[in-house]
Amino acid sequence: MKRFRLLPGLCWLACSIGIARAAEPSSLEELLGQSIVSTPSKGDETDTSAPATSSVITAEQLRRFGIRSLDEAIDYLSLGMATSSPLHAVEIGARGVLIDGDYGNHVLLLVDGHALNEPWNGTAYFERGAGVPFDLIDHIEVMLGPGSVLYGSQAMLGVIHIVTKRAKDATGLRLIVEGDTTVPARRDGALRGPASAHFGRDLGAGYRLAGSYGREFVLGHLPSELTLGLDYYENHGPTWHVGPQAYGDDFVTGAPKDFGPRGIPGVWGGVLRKADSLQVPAGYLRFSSGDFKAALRASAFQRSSAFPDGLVATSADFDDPFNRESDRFLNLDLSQRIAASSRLELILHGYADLYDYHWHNRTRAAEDCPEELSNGCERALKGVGRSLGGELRAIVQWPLLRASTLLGLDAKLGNVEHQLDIQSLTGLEHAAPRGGERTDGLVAPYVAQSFSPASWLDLNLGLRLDHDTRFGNKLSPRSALGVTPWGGGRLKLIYAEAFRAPSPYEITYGDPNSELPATGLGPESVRSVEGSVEQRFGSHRLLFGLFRSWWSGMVGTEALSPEEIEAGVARGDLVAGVTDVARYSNVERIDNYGLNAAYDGAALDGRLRFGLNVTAATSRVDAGDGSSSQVLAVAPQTFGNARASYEIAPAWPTVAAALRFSDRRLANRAYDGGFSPTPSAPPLLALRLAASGTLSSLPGLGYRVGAEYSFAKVEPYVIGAAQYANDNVTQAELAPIPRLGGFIGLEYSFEAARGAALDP
Amino acid sequence: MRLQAALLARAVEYDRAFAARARARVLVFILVRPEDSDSVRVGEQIRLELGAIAQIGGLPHSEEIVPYGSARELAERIAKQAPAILYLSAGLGANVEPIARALEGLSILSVGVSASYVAKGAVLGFDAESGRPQLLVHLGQARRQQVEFRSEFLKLAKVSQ
Repeated sequence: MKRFRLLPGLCWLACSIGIARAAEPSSLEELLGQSIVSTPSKGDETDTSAPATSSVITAEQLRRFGIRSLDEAIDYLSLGMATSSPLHAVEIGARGVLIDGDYGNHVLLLVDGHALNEPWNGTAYFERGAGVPFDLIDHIEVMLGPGSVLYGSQAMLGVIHIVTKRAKDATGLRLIVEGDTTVPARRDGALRGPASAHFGRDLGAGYRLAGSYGREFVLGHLPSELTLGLDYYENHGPTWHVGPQAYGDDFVTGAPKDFGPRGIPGVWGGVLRKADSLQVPAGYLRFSSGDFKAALRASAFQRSSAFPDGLVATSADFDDPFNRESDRFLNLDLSQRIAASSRLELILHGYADLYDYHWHNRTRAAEDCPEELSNGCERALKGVGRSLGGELRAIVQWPLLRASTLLGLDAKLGNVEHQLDIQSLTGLEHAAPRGGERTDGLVAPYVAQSFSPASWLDLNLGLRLDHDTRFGNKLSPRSALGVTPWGGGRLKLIYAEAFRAPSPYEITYGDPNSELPATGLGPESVRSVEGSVEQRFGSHRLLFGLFRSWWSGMVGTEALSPEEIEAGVARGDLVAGVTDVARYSNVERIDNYGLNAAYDGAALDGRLRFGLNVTAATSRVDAGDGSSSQVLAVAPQTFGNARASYEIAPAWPTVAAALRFSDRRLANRAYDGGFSPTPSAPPLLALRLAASGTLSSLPGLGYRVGAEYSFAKVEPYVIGAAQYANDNVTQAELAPIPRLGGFIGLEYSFEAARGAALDP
Repeated sequence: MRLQAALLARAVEYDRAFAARARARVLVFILVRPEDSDSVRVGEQIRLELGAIAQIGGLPHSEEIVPYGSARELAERIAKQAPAILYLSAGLGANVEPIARALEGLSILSVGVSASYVAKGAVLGFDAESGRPQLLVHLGQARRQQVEFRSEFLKLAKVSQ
């Protein structure tokens, strides 16, 4: 019987080979339409031949569509990834999986190959908070699926790689000024008209000042270059109308709950005028000389926590700008390439990262504070991370089978600490500070072997072993098969695994009132298998893929039994009398499968460009508490984007339209909030229009202008004091969306102006 | 390298003089600096990649690694063996200008591994911008080396004089 079972497979293989022999090589237009990616294999290759499904967002697309932040780029232009905004830092998901409250630590974010996920919690930001000067971006590679085989921890949902421009593409000095505004909405989400009271005052307003400089030069006979980008963005507002939520009494005082000087006792809600703000300064410097490269990046991301939402804080005074978060990053990256022989290339890579995080929260409600601070309290959490690492890579080219071997050894040392201080509003009384400190190291050898025994066949096998003091050993394999069965066609079959190391925060965090530090916390794991077929015809590309992934050991909180609590009290880890105590544990599992499809094309000599990306998935989570599996909350299951742009004529603007969509998403408190009806955000549809170009009357001056409108009114996050249903509040309130906004930007290139003056 | 090889194999189809230059079989010279490991490595790689392509410009082909001595020696060898394509490997940046001068009047398509070679006199070169491959053509040098690209090819390339 086994022989017959093998028959279909053999037929398929024979047919593929037969077709392959007749296959025509791709046309020049098809070849030029391919993207060059460096993420899947740590080396340049086309996206068609790479052992991963990826999409590339170009600087030209960013300009055409008026894209001004990483989340906009992901939502409007990428395949398979989408963000969700609780109105402070966006959350990111891929292929139907989004881990609510993960601070982006299931996606690896790289800038020119340097990982930006910080050492304390693995956090990365996928919006303006990414902290990369936007005009310095050459392209963004979005790789879907597990990527730990070369990158280790965090690369579970995928890898986003921002590649910055080389000096030749950013020559000279450029200055950019940009402004934006957001129209305020009423409590029901309806947009307010200009005639409404205080409309001008209630508008949201932001501005960006940026500059970049690039220069090529010769240093000691070596071709060298330098690029520098500086960027500052600030935004306030708009005014938001939220609530009212009849919360009721403070269970400690028995009086209506105090929501601070801008709140109403016992009722959460009103007008948020001061509590929505954002500041992001960022700088990036890159230098190269010959085969030596150095990069230095610094950024800060300061944003307010406009309202309690269960992600940042579950309670806070109303409309209080004191409630905020900030992150600061400093990253250094050095590398030297050595051509050791005609077959061996070595890359020595060193990196260092400094990071700190601050969270501030203020509440006057006694029930939100420790017993001894019943007149209100301020909380300040500080996290610090430092890491230092080195990587040695050897690339061996073999004379047979067009084989190449990548051998690598990654070693990293990290130190993190955190401290939570709680004090009275006067600052005179303090609760005992809580904190922790930890130093960890990892050593990770990896190998990736590729073979191309025929022009139509590519094989890629890889394996990485992470030995990490946080959890022990973890293997991350990947195998990929690529076949070109006919001209312009490509079939891929990929199996990969990835993991996320438990963060030092998850390992060490404890609260004597509510949480015990985790014991024996292991890495989260994902296994994924996917297949895709791609067809290029001229300047058109069609992709269709199926995927399935299994997630296990996901970190969640596990409720402790009375016996465990008693033991914790006996050890002095918990205060006496506590009844609800949790602990981080590897409890959850996710089962996910679906399809994705993409179409890109161009017509009219490339002046008209269009594209469509669609993902449809089913993701269910098993909480590990014996209950049945449930649809994953917050994560969009069907989502995507569509776009078109047209270059009218050289002296005219390029006009562009894009839309993004997603299906209904369950809110983050869908299962544990007790609300009725079960809270969910309705389907999302957002439309974006942009025009960009240069002014022929003013050489060197470019402009872009655009607007964005969202038909949806809310995102799937329960906001306000009532994070759980109570006698007074049975219906959840969800986070509002900025529904209508516009922007205008001007860019002046001194180099372009000089060129125009020299060659009128 | 694979993409460069594929682009090169397609690009020559747009050269009106290519068939006459190549005759029955395309000979590709791959010029390397033997004392430069990187140059030899890149040369070997492009040889492997070209070798995996069935035809270049619709013709069978063979590749030969040629160590660089001087521009004059190279020109003499080209005149004698009549290759249709000269691929300039890595590490030859400082030699491209004298090579370009020596090739004037000969019928050969010179191809540079990087964009900087085109500025110095290679007829065809490769680059990447915004994650997309780019072809670069030095039109003046193309005329001097009897390379006649069709206008539809020049529309797809970045052309300099």
